[in-house]
Amino acid sequence: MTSLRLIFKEIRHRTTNFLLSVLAVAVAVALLVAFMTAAGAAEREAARLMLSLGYNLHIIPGDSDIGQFLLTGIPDKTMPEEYLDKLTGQNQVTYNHLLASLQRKFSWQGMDVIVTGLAPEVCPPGEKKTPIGFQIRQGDLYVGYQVASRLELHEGQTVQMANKTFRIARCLAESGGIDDVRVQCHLRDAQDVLNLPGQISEIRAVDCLCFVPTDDPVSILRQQIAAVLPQVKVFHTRAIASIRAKTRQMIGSLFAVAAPLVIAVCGVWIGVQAMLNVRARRQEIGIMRALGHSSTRIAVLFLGKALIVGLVGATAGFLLGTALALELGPAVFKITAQQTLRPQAYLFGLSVVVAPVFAGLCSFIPAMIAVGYDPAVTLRDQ
Amino acid sequence: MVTLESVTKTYRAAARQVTALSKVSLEIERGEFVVVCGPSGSGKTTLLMTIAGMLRPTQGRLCVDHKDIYALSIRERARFRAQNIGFVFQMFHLVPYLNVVENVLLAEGSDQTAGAKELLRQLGLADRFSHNSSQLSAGEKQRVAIARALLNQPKIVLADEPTGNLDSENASVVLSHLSDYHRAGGTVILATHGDQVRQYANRTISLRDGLVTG
Repeated sequence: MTSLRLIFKEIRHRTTNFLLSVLAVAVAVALLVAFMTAAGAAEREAARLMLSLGYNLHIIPGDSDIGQFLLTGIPDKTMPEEYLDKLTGQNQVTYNHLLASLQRKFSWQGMDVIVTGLAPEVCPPGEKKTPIGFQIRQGDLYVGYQVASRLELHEGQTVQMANKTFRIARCLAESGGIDDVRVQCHLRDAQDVLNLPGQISEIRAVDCLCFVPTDDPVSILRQQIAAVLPQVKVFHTRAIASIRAKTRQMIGSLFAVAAPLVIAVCGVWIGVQAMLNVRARRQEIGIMRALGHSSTRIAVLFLGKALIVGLVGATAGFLLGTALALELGPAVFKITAQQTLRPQAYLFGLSVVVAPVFAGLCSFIPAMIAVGYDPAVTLRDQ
Repeated sequence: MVTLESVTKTYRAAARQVTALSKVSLEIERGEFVVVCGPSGSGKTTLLMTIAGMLRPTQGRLCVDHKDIYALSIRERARFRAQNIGFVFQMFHLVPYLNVVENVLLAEGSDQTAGAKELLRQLGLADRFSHNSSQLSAGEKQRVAIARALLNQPKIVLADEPTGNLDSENASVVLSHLSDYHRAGGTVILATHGDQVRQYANRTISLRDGLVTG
């Protein structure tokens, strides 16, 4: 009679013990899978929320008036659009999400607005990521709250600006800042409206958050960018960078605290179930030893069962965790859930490898206790 | 076949030293049917467990089939037991989640379903192959245990109170099967505190307080 057959027979006989052990593994795997599936979304969500604070890296023309830029947030000079291509073509960089823009004060229908042209966001080679900013199509306008209110604009309306026709794609909610007087459009449209073909006033970016506390990110970024574009000035918004880094660290810390706790509790649970199983099978162990079964065979029966518990628990846990993340995720991650919350195949692979090993480790001591049972004592006690 | 030379076995129970076997010397020949009798606590089970290689003597030497079995490693001793010794217990000790055939096949190293079924047929259990132990009577359980003990054609069968939980009719059936094995050339060492068994024995050994008294 093979060990596998004995294991399956015993599982069928002691279903409750098996299911409780599977439940322990499934709970651990489900929580970790749900957390890891959601962690990606949380990171993306945090990044998107950080967007309201703006990009943290600003690259402006070298001859711009710094005072003016710091005062208004709008550089008074422009630079060629090709600068963006030069930055995008770099490898081994510590910035990402490059967004070229052209901003100018503009009088529109008797109101002073800031026309902001945005190019499609680009990334350095091998760093392709989902854009975190608006992706505005040519011919569309995103108008700020004050602009829409004062000019009585509404979504879907067709408007004229400097002899170009636009469709109001979105009237943005009140921000309480400069965005309320902004009219955002595609970079090409802004270049036409402002009559600045091929020009941009700023390249915004996000640093990669890969700096260690001892690094001076501004120096490193300035050095990297100066190597490609010596004619520009670089500003790093420390407050925004710090908030982004702290948010990401917070997500990581939560996982670092929660994961060991969940694993420890479930590990003890599996161990207790395994120990109860060993105690319930003392007579069986005794008779098998009396019939000449080796210690290895006895250990295989318990550790083999643990592997099956791990395998079944991992599969159930993965399905449960993924379902939890997909079901509850959209309520938590309102902006990015649809793009980022997806079943992660690698987590399934990881679960079915790690969970059986984990269950085996948790059952190791009970299995060794089973091996150590003295058959003479066990059978005499019966 | 089985030689015990001044075998002593002591236990420590509740800070007290208990002598279960005291300098027992025995010689049991191949093909003997030996009954070990004595009251509860006289050392019968300890003697059988010691002969089976499951209980190392505190002192003395024990040889089975000219082998000092306690000189063997644990693994070798387990293999020796599987190949040479069959065990029948008072409490049957069938595995509850296995059916009758599977319980017989639990005998280590046996992958002989046909042999197991043939043995069960000889023991009158042909219609019980797929039954679990909970569906069997006490007599049937003990016959399954005998089939399990005999499957590997052991040289010795050790039976610890095999009729202790059986009515006299079932006890006779079980003893007649052990007797058949003995007549076929096997060695039986049977521990009991009853008298019914003595008629099957070539020899009776009496134990009291761990000492051979007769």
